[in-house]
Amino acid sequence: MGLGDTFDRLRRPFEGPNTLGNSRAFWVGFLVVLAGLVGYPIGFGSYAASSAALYLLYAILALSLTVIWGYTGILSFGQVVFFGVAGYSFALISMNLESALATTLALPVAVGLATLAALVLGYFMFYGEVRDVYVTILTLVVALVLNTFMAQTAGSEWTVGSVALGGFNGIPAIPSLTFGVGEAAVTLDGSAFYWFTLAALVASYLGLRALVNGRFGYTMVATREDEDRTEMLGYDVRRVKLLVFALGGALAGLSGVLYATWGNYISPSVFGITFASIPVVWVAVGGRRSLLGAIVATVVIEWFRQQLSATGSQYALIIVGVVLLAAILFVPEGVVPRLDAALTDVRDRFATNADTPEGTPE
Amino acid sequence: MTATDTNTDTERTDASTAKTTDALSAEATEVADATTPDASADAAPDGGTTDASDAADPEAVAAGTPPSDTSGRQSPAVAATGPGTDTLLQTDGLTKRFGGFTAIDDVDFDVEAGELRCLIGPNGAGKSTLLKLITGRHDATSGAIYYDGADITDRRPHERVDLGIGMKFQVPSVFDELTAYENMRLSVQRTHADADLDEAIRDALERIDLAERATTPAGELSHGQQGRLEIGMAAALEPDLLLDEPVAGLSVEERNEVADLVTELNGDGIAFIVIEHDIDFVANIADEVTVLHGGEVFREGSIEAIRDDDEVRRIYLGGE
Amino acid sequence: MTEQRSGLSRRSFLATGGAIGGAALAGCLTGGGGSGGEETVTLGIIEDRSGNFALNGTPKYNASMLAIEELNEEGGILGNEIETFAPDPQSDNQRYQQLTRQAINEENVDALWAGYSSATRETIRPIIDQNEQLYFYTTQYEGGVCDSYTFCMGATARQQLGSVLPYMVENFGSDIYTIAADYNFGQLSADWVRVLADENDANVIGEEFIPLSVTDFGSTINNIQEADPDFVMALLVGANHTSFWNQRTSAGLDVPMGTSTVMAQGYQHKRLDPPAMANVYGGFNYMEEIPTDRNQEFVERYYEKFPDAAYINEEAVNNYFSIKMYARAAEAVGSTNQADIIEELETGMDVSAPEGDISLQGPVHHMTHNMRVFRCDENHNITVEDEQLIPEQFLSETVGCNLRENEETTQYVPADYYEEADATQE
Repeated sequence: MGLGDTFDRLRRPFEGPNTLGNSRAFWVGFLVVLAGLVGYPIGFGSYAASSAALYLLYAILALSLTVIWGYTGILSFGQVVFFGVAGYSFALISMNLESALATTLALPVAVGLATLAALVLGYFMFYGEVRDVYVTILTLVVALVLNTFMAQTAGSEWTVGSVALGGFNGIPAIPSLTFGVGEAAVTLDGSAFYWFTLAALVASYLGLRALVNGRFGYTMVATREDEDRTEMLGYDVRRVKLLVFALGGALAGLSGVLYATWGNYISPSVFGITFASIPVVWVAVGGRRSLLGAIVATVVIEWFRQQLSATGSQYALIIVGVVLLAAILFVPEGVVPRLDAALTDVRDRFATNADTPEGTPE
Repeated sequence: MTATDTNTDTERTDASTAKTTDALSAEATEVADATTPDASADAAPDGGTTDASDAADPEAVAAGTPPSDTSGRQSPAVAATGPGTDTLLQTDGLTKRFGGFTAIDDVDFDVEAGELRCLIGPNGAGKSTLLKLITGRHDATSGAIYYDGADITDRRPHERVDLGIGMKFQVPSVFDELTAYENMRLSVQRTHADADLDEAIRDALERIDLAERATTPAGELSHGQQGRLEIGMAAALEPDLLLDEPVAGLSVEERNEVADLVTELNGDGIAFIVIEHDIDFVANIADEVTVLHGGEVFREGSIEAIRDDDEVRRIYLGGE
Repeated sequence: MTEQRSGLSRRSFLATGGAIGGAALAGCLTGGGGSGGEETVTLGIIEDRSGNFALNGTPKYNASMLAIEELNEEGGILGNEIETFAPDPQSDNQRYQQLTRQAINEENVDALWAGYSSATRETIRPIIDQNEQLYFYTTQYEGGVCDSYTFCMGATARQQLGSVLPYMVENFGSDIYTIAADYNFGQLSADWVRVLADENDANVIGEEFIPLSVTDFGSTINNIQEADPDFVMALLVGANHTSFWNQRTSAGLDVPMGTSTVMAQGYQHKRLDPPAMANVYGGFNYMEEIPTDRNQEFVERYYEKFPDAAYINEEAVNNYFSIKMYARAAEAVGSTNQADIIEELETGMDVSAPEGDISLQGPVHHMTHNMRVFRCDENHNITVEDEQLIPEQFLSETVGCNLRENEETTQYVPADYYEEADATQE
């Protein structure tokens, strides 16, 4: 029984009414899936792992939107701004300084810059009393402005240090993730990159679980539900939104650096309207109040899009659009929460049928 | 009450005031069984509608009589609240204008620590606006507000809450999707560490007699229960002053429950400013009564004095 | 002694057999990135059939399929049927990345044809180089790519401008106004306009760069009218830029325009009503309207396979002849070993293409092209005004790129070699 108790004690900080999956069964399942994900490169090879890593890093971007939208009520089309800022920053730093140490430091610095950008934008929006819909519009506008600006940096005069911004072309040949100094440095490609990305995703997921189930998480949810009421309970709602938005920016930035080092390339299209809208789609389909839903939906949708384009189907985009429309129309709370509710129903019916005392709690 | 408030909004010009206060006076002098559930339509705490509907006709202001200070206190030029004084809250020349319209006009108003003050007045007198100015939902156009030794005129709402001012809204605005337990948690976690959190939440729920409903989503509670929950949440913040707007659509029994709770909390030392329309209700609980009319303090005194005052009756029944 | 006179001794038989077996085994193991001489040859054809570059990419895909079909009809490559991996990257550079990786790592393509725009090429070139994948880039482009694994089959800006610009200067005057798509290719082409202007005693009196997404050219047209040049060099790219031509005609802007991009790629002269493209002169290695017998036969075969096709653009033909060129190189080498084929190609090759007799300049991986100046009149008829064989010069003469001797994966830009081309010197 000692092991069971320890297990329960370990999982407590990650559980609560703000997340799905609060039972031993869930965590056992989680560990099983995680083991499978860890073993994926060994079973399927480095190339397959590398492809999958893209979906995993996108999932981190999805999480950044879930925490600010699903949990705090801030719908932002601008997560890609921080994604791109971090990606470009990483490229400019590592390619100008050209050393293993610089590339190592470029990761935290780039994420830091993305967070700073989120703090600045968030400050102007939330302390400037910009409301709801206008926050959404503003974040989208910032993304599009960046897209337009970066796309016209094609000329040779648009250079930071020795690195050309490249305009529509973007910046190719971005170095891969590196940790260490000089000769002792380790570069992550293929399977190694996959494992690093997986670790980052799991850490983000667990960290967010703990956050949203703790006292700040409740404050976030209250802010989402009724800002004025929350303020009347003594919470500085502007500060809450700013902090959450900054967190979202940091996560999006992490995802952006991973993206830049995955393809060793970044271009202004990351600020474009298509890519800006995609996270909203992932999160809406997966269930915006569900961290797990965001991850699952991202991986499934992106895998699906990739398969469609590889077959050369002309209807790829249309099919994706229809699927998304259907999901949002018929499963508005999200696919994963719907599944979870269905499973709970089944389990409850099972429990009452099995002659147990009424109302067996979770 | 709110429905007629809204009517005031649309019928604001010239002699229409007489018509509206007529409708109101019927309510004000009778026991408020007449309140109907649908009255709460657009009285959201943050809604502009309530403000506009509280607005009085400028001509009615002119028709009113100057405030008579029955308590003998003069309007102080300097703040005299906080430790060493009996006064908890004090406004000094507080004025609020919306565009060309003056909702609160040069109001000097104070409340003593532990007092239970009732704020009454015809519709459009500015009662709700005054409370919003005190909590910080509105910024004052001019004048000052002092609380517990500090000038809070420019403080943000959440800062005032931290200082000890709480509010219970006209429409129960608990968090519908969260359970009663979780609602209470939001209040309690401000004053308790994680270690004592659960116990403190359960205690707080006990006090308002909602312990068995801890796991019920607040949206599924009855109106009365929601009202209690809201007061309980406000009280759990350990305020020194609670502002209270009456809850629409309650049965007599529920209103008595709320009254009991208010009295009990007041007994524990929390000062109250309660907006009320029911004179009997006021008679039961109030220490002092302030009558607001046309954005100005019209009368202040005990409920007996106010009740017998001809002038007060007149403003309720309409103009000359 | 006795054993040798009796012919094949057991030992020598074993030795020989062992040697052959070992060689075969070695051949299988060192098959490079390709299937190494097994039952099929796989070619990767990644061309846009949707998105902004669909118009340009679809003919490339078609012509590739035609070439492969014709090769298969004659027994394929090395007796093996040619198979294809041909997805649609949807004009999306990120898809190009994913599909390129898939082509190399999963499909194990023996050779790859991919990408319309220079941006695409630059996105995937690092992947190509990292995997040492034989890659043919077949669109006309700004020039300067000296890459061990990349063969550039399209005419370079210098070749194209080198054919049309001198003609324009000779016939219209020396004041030039340049309008170009605002990305890598456009910027570099504009640099070349300046270099060639300098070589032909002409002046660039104005330059404008227009983002690929722009469809409203009102202010550009005003600027041109104000500048009043002798001719305009219009280096516009993509579907959105097509609106320029009708807009300039409506505005009454009738100054002659030279180009290296429109008509041969996006067949604006067929899609727009006359006289939208009147007085436009293009320097290209190919247009469908080339009147030679060889070309007209090719055109017939193309439309027989693709009766609903809209046009055969210049890069489609570059796909076509380069696939056949690859097949010849493979046959010469006797395998699909990519390193060997690259080496073979680097010895140069004469190619019989629909445009004429051209040749591969081995050391620089580029083609000497049969350039022509095509004129579009007010009825949208195409005539050939001038013709000459123009080799690639920038890499071979100015930079000194020699991939036979050195391994490299660089793109050189004119600004580093020509003062006139350097925009920061303005």
